[in-house]
Amino acid sequence: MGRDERKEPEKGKTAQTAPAMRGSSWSGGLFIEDLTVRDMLFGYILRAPADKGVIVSLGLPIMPHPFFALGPGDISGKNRVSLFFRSMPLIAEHEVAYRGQPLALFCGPDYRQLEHYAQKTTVLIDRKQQEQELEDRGVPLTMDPLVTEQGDQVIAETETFQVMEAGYSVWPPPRSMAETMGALAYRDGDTLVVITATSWLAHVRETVAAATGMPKEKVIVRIPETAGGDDPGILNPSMNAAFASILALKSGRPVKLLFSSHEYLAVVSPRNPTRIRFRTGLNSDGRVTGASIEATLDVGGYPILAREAAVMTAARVFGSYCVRAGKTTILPSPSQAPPLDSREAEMKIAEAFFATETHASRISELSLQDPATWRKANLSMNSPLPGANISWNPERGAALLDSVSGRSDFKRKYAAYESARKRRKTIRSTQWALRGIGLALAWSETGFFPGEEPEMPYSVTVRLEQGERVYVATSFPSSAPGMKTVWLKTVAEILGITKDRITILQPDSSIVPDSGPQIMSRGVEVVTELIRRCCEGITKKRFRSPLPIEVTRSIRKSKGLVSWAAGVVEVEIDPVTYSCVVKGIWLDVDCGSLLDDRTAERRTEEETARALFWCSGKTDPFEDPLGNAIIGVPGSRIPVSIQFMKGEKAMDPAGIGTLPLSTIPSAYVSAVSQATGCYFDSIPVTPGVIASYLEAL
Amino acid sequence: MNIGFLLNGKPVSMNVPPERRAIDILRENFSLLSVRGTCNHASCGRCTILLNGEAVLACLLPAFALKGASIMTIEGLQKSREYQDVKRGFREADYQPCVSCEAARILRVFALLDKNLSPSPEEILESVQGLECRCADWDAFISGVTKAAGHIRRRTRARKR
Repeated sequence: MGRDERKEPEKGKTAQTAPAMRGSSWSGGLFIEDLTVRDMLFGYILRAPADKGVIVSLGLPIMPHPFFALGPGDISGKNRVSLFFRSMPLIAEHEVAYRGQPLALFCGPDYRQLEHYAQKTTVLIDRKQQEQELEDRGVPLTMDPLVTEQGDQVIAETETFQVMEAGYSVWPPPRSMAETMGALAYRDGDTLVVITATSWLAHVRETVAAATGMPKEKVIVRIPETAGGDDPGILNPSMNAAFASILALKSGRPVKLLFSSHEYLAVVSPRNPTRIRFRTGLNSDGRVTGASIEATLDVGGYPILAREAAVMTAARVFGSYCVRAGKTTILPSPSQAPPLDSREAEMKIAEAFFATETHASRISELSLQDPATWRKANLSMNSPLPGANISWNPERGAALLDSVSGRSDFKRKYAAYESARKRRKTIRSTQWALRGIGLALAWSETGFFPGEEPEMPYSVTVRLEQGERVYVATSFPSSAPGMKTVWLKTVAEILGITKDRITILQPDSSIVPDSGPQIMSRGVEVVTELIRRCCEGITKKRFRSPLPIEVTRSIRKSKGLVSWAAGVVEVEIDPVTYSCVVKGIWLDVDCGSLLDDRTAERRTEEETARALFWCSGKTDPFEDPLGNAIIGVPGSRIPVSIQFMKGEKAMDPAGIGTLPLSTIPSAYVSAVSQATGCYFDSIPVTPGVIASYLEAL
Repeated sequence: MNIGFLLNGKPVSMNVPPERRAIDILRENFSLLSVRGTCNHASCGRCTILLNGEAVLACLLPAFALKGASIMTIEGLQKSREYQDVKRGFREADYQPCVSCEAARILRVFALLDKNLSPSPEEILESVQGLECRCADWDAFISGVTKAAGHIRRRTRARKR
């Protein structure tokens, strides 16, 4: 392992050279759009204008040298990108499976000209022909459902006192992407160097090697110094890197592909909502005797990560609660949307929790119990992921329910608002603001996707050199929010050295071991744990072995820690305009011992803001710092109180994950439901939606 | 069209086609990489520059609009005492913006403090309106700007004496 030193180009060498900035870096931040290489060309992806269909013809324009275009037949390696045993084409070969699927690659020295040539391309796509062909070939238009059953249905039916049915549809949260995405590829001797922001360095290398036909050892992948704070995903960065590499090898010159955040969001376009339908049997105490649950997930044009999303949804449709007998059917539904990337797959957790927790609140109301008491009495003692290696700890969830309902005075307010709602004849007759309060409980497991994810070793290397300098090598991007702070703190505390002597090496596949993808809180649970173990290994050898001391540690299996959150949202609705003001948010989180208090608080605040904007219908929580709903602004009308459970019994760090997104929307909708007396089955709930529900009453 | 303007205190002149934007020439002709074209749709605010002391978005500005103007980017401001004051204020408030939005944020603070050395929290927040970033720790940011304003005030007062 060595430091990330890049070679200076030799004089007179005209072809590939190390990337350099065109100007001086004022802050040390180097973004993908700042990188440039001598003789560099630009790449452009021609995307499918239609959702689905057979490509009848693709007429590429005639272009002067050095402009050129490539189709799927020009790829020297495999025209496939794979993730967890499933694959899809890089460039559409015969048929278009989703909106925006790449159809051809353009390359040339002028980006504007490339856009011009791409617009001159004629594409003819026949949608009907594709449906007929699929039918003729016997290809099913839907995927196999994931069906799980538990308990004795007959006993459940005999104990059932009443049955409750409800359906929910949840649109995914709007995605904000603040950084320019792209990839730069160039030859350096006999190696191919690719620079791109990604959540999984090793996956980019695998994809590029397969697409170009080059040996893996000859492909070097680097993450730019500043990869942006948002999760770039796995699938799209690997595809972009493969495209840039294919063009670079074909042209013999460096090639850069760039997407502005606007273009990128257009490609990762909105998809259909997750629909979950519950049929729940209850006994006279309000306990769930049986449940039949059907969920439909939009998994996009290809079933990448569809199985993982289905397994995670199946584990959450019972929430955290005890169901004596139940059947779940999760149907991954192909659509015209792009395939699920890691971020969208993780969001299925929040979408499932919205439906389950909103349904749980309705059950508690039907059984005349307050939602906190019902939830605590019905917590399941058994893991909702049987067979998966997770440490199920419902007592932590129960403690959070007590804590958050105590802090927010939930039970008293719930009873008071319920009483006010029942006394009220109509909303129009009231002159007081309508008030409601809602509660939700959610959990999140760390580590690896349950189900079919292959076992892979995740490794980190830490090296102590002369002068007490420490180098940490991990392929996990340190630009992930808060990660660098946490890692520096971990190393500094264990080795007793100052942070300025610690260097987190820039991820580079030639010098850092694979530390796995940036999903499911692996940065906290896996990588931080590995860094800690490496440092402890160094401590044992320190002062006994000569410097440098290098220690590598690997993990094959996650501990599967479960972190919990319980959230309460209180709202006030204007009876004339139906505008909704959030009077307070209380969020109690148990994510084990905190590696850095401030980082954890900030992450939770950010995600809480995002969750609030998701369920209340605003587009971006960060666009208007003067907006009333911005959290953390002095004088903001939303008091947010976040509390982390600490103490001697704290488990190992488990990460925050999607906990705010899994609790706040359901608590918000339950609160609005109590205030208005309408049962909302979808988010966002805007004043217009409230008005339409009230009119339908 | 031939235009001349002051760029970071130095007079420059160049020929610009009418369709070129200010961000294009600042990045491509003058290698000022702090002016970032992340969204190119005036929504992220990363391309902020100071045009005659006012914070404007370079991705919306035609290049010919720079004619006769004084343009300041973070590369030019870095040499000033005020920049050190702002950085010192941020440090004291334990506020560290991310590298992605730092340049635009500091420029907007500059534009504010140039006119008002005792800004209210609302004015401070208003100055960064439209700068889209998740890194904002608003309490620390307000405290940092207030401290920076204090440093500039004290230095200006000392110089007058």
